[in-house]
Amino acid sequence: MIRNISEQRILNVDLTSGQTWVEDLPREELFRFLGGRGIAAKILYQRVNAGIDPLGPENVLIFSTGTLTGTSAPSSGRSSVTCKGPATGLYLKVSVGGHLGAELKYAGYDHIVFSGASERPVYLWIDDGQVEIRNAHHLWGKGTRETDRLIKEGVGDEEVQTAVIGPGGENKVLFACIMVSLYNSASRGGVGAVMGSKNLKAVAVRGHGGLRVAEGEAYFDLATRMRQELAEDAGTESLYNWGTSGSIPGLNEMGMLAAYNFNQVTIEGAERLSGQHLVDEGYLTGRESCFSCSTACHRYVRSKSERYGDVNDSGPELETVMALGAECGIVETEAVLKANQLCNDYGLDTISMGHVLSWAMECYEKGLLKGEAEELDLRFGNADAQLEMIRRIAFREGKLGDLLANGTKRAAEEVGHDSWKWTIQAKGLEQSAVDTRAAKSYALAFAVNPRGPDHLMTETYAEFGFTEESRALIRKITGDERYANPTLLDKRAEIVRWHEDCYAASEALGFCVFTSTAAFAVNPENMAQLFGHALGLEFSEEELMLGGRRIVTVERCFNAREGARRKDDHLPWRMMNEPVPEGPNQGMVTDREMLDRLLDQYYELHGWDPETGIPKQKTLEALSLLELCGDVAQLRVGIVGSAN
Amino acid sequence: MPKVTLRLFGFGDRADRFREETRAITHGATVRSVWEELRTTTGQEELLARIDEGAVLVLINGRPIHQLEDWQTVLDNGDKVTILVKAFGG
Amino acid sequence: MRLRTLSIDAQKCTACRACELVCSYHHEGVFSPFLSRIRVVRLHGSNVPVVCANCARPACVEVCPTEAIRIDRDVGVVRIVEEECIGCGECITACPFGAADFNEEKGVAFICDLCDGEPVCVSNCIYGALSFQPVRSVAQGKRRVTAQLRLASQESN
Repeated sequence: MIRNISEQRILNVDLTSGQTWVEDLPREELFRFLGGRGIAAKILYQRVNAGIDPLGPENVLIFSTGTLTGTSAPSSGRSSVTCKGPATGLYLKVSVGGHLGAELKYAGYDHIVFSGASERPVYLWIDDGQVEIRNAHHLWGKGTRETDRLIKEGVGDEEVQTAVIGPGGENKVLFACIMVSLYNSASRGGVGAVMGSKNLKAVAVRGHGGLRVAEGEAYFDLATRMRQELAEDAGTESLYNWGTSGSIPGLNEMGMLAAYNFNQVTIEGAERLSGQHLVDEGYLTGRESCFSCSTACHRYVRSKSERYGDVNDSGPELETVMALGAECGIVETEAVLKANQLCNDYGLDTISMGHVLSWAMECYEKGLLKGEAEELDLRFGNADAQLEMIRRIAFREGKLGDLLANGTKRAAEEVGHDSWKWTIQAKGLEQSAVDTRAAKSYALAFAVNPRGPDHLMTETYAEFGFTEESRALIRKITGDERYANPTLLDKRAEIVRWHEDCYAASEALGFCVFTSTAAFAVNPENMAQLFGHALGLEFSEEELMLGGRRIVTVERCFNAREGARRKDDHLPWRMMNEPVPEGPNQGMVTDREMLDRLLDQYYELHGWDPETGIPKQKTLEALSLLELCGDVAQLRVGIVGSAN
Repeated sequence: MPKVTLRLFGFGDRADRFREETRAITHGATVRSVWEELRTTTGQEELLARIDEGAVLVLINGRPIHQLEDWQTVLDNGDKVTILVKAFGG
Repeated sequence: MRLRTLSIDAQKCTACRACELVCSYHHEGVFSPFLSRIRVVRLHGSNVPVVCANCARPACVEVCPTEAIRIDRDVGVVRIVEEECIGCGECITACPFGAADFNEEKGVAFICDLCDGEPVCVSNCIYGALSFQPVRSVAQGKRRVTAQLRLASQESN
């Protein structure tokens, strides 16, 4: 089926009844919410009532493709997975690359909304117009790679695209991920556990259709120009050469390489975790693109060692080598590659896994964990203990594995004493390994991030001003290049809000945020033009960014309805109370007073109530969100719901 | 004579190669003058001699020079000057 | 007969599949890998673009019952005349590379026509996996690589 890009179709799958049905998305909704992440946020808001159990059948799980996914727009192949998150009890959106989104588009769908829960393990098989809920009994308990293989064998097609959970998701580990197209991970917040709670082992898609845009020539020409510009961008060149972990040497030199559960900010031997090292030592076997991508930052690696066996897998990302490597005091390349492979195969988020283990290591070294931790000698740097714990966590094996499978916030409640202070988490999500003490836009962005503190909802890379392009962007946002300085508090709200808008818009359209906020060849202006050409309407940069803000605001409203308030917008305790111990940023911290100042500026800029952080009625009105989210404007005066 | 420590990343025949050297500088030497000198004393076959200035990240004691006086920053005795090929990772 | 050929360096292919998208758009006005004349086959970490080899004695031409596939000597390609194609699929079966495929909507087979001498896949391959060059240059380039490898192995012995 060849269809117009503006005619979006939603596939509904009720796993309780086994019913599936397709509905058309009204065009005006696409204009308002831009697509992908935006449509998903709206659906989530409408279909999930406040207070439900994220791991119960009342939760929905939404796979959304970007509006431009499947076209020649460069780096536009990303998808979102959205639900109420089990780690935080709040809004959760995870972005993922690979080829699944495009495949789903060609099969004739833009979104899949799963509701209910199946009684037995199943997987969804989409073969163009034919949709079937199939028995997954033979797949349950299998790793993600084996599951992918068995599905392809079962349907007799090697080119099927899959989204799969491993034992982690089956066992509802609160940081279980979904592996997409085998090697890409929809990682954070426990999306895999939600899938597991629905007894949904996998989604497999094959589509043979195509997409038509309204203004073909204009669209095609602009997309081609953007691809060329991206290819020439210095940022994408380093991503191609070394992948995301190419920044390891620089981070270590700048004293921003989180190590030993953030007790250090440099680590001896850091270069062995770097993308440069993977290339030079011959671990790298290939560079891989997501669908239609002009960067190819994804890696394939291979290693053989007596101690860790053979690894032949996708390569570790920067956050993976920081969390599983430096944070756990491990710089041995083969060990980290092995840990990454285990997480991928069990279907576990490497960022949370690293920080769960680094926290456990600190607890053990401080004498708070006994028993199994002692038997394994779970100290920093012990790779064997780490690998064993990854397995136990995936299967919730033993008391410790079961405890840690719930993430650091819940585990600290059990372990007690001061151990909560060492959890690198807020809202229940482990923070990515960015030092939010020394970069204030990052600090603010992480604190207000609706899914918890990480860089993958709003990364404000430009504030460092490393490149001429980043400094130009800061000038555009704030009027002055001197604000390209991460230690300043002024203008951080403006910088964060711009990036939020841009992220939301990028992800609604399907663009990888690396191309719009780290490299800049994809930018709000040309995204808006492409969107306009695709749908056949005039669309401005301002409208696009406003669409992004509408998405961000719905996400905020979702959390407000769940009871989240200003007090929940904070950073991990260590980031707010323990100054950077060494290096050029020594002494820096983002304390309560600083954060309050940042929050005041940010809420005011957004038109959110400074006391509660809830969007004001007039703000919702200005974004034409009163009809959808009007209920939250009442929360402030205590008419509906209550602050927890 | 004042001295600085140069920490060079990725400028040899391998991207992960690191080398460190101590270099005497004149009073009032800037990042620019040390960079120029380094370039002329490096063999043409090395990336360091050819790379575009915009593609390198220079840190003084871990701080990026664009947060200081950029290439005109004056170096002090004992400064640690790091030069890397720029890389983004997220 | 061939002037220039589409040369593939699979080592450089990252499976971004931009070639498939620009090809289907150029020929059919839509984005659909299934209408692309060039296809990237992904094999767990390796990616291989597959496209018409423009054989000197093309099997597709030989088997076509309506003689709808013809050799265009000016450009050096085989061409399917859509009006004369009856959609029997003989060419798809006969092609040893899987380079011919079927457009279900139109009911005709399709095959790479090198975009009349300016292949859009090549100009849009930012990774340098595709190039369009004289057959003689391809052979010469490969000979030079072979020679360098032999020399290196002699020197190391």
